[in-house]
Amino acid sequence: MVRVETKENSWSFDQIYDEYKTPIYNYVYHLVGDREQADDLTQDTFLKAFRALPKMDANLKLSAWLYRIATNTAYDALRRRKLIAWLPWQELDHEPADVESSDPQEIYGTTELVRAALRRMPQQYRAALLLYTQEGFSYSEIAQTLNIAESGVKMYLSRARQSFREHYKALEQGGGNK
Amino acid sequence: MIGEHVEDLLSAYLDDALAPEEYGAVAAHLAVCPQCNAILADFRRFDALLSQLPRVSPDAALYERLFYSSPRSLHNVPTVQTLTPLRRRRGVGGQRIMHMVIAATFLLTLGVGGFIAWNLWCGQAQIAHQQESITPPAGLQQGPLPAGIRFVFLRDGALWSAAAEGTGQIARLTPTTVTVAANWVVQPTLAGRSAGDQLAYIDLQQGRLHTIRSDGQSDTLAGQSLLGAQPSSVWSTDEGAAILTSLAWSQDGTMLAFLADPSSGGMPALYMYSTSTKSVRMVLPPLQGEILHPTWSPDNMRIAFERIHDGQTSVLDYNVQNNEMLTITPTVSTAEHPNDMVLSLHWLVNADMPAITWSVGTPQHIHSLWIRYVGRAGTMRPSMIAIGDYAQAVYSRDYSQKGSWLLLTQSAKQLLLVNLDAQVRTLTTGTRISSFSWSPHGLYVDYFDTGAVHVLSILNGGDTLLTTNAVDSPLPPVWSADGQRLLYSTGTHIFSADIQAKTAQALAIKGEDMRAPLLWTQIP
Repeated sequence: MVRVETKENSWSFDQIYDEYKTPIYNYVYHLVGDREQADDLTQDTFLKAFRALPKMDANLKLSAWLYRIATNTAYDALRRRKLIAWLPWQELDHEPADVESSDPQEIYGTTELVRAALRRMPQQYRAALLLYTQEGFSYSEIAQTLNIAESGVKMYLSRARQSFREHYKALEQGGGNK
Repeated sequence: MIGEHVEDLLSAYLDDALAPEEYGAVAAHLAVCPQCNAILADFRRFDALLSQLPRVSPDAALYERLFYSSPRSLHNVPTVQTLTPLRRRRGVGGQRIMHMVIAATFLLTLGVGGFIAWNLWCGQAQIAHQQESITPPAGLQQGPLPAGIRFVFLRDGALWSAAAEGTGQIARLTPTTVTVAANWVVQPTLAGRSAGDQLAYIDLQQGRLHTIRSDGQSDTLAGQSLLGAQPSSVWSTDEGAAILTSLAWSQDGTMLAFLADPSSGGMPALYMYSTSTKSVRMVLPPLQGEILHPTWSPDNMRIAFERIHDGQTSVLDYNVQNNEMLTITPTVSTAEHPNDMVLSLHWLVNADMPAITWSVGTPQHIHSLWIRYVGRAGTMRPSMIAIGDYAQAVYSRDYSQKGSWLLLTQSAKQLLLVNLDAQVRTLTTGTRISSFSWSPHGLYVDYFDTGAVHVLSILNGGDTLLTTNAVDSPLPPVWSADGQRLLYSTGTHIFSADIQAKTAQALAIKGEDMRAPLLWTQIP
């Protein structure tokens, strides 16, 4: 079994995968908005990470580093797509059947609105907003993950929230056919 | 800045990422600008929506592809590397607390006494002259305790009573011949009182139910032995646990429901003890399976409870007047969560709207909240209020007629208020909350965030830092029955904070004496 050792612990790739598979997959899914593509991108993320680990510095912050690989992998995929094929709001897919959990909003049907608003945002702001709200990252961790200055995170999050608000409200009023 | 809109600063304001002078300027602007307030409210709402977005997981096939079967699998990855330990989520509450401390210090310097932050209450001088520890006396309380509000706690198998202000002697309430089980209960607050007058407990030695007045008098045996078998052989069984956790006062404090198995049939039945007639009667004959969480309706006519039988958990409602049984829900588990059970069960606080609300999940993982109305305007089946994966869920009366649930998200960053119409309000963001509790009337919530105790107003959202030097184990902060005092532990001392007067006082009892929750009583 391939193992990654620390002073205190010894982690197998299995364990790293177990620990991060859902957060990374969930993050990538919300970045690209497509489950099949999220599968591929999650696989690519872990492959890149495991192959690069032997070359990494001993003080590597594993979490931020994994998210950075995931972000860049997703950005590459979005670039390759050139243009995201946005679907009109009325034709958006419903909740995937194997969703791990859902929440109170789903009862009154806002989950799809949230996802649709996310998809309409600029990708770098979307990433910052997801890391902050979904993954619980601090400004410093977002800065490391997105490879930007910590002061830039403040601006990213501000624009992200403004952008999300604008898109969400437009969708809410039925103006989401974009 | 008061006249200029501050939209670009609102995001950082929300995250407490502004310099103090900017923070103050934005706050001043918000006080006069409905437009910016609306944007800020939207930001809060959208943060909550995003944080609760359902999390999706990859299917198992991804593991196979990654590690084995795919051309892109991990066949030839090199072997050993040294890493720093995995680091998981870290909250952003520290900046916020620091801002509050800075602001409080600033105000103190200016001599604005009314605004002195609560984390500064606990001055060393005040603590120093009150550090004397009182060891509870070995003997029984002689004569009735004086009138007033007191708190009661369990230690070494006995109940002890101490004055709310922490002065005077700590008195032993229960006889030396009994060993009090955990899950003892205080009678509900009655009209014109601040706390209950009576307590009920089970003696582990004899397997008997007792009631005792809060002044330490009239320790009374209620009915015969709860068990036909030797008590010590039963307490460690599921049946024993069900009996020990079954004590439930009616809302008017005149009846006490409990489970007992005097015939040793292995199936406890539900009984009721009347404090006025001192008599016991069987409410419900033995049912197959296990009965848990008996809960009285506000009109004292019904008892709802959880039943586990043949691997199925159901919620039932028994009418003690006409002996009718109603199935509230036939099952609570799902294919996705086959081990789910009822974690807490409550009647709505408003007797005009008879309804039962309950949480479902496993400890630390609340998966759903439900409600079902009964009576004339009853519904045929339960309605889901919330679904997800939450660390804690607690129902309480609050400013609304129906009461609300408080939910703590798994990341502990947020405390959500969910009303019974499934509307959600985010109470905190950027926190790292490990525990919280409602004040008795539901107007405040205290929460414990990395050593800091905060008090949050449900009505206006005002958040007050109480102390930065507390521990939540083994004694988490606890409210007095009148909602005016909050006790918290620093590990070595117990402090009593007066919410209105904004003062805190060290009690003459050591923190390590508190190994179990305390409850409040009133001696009339």
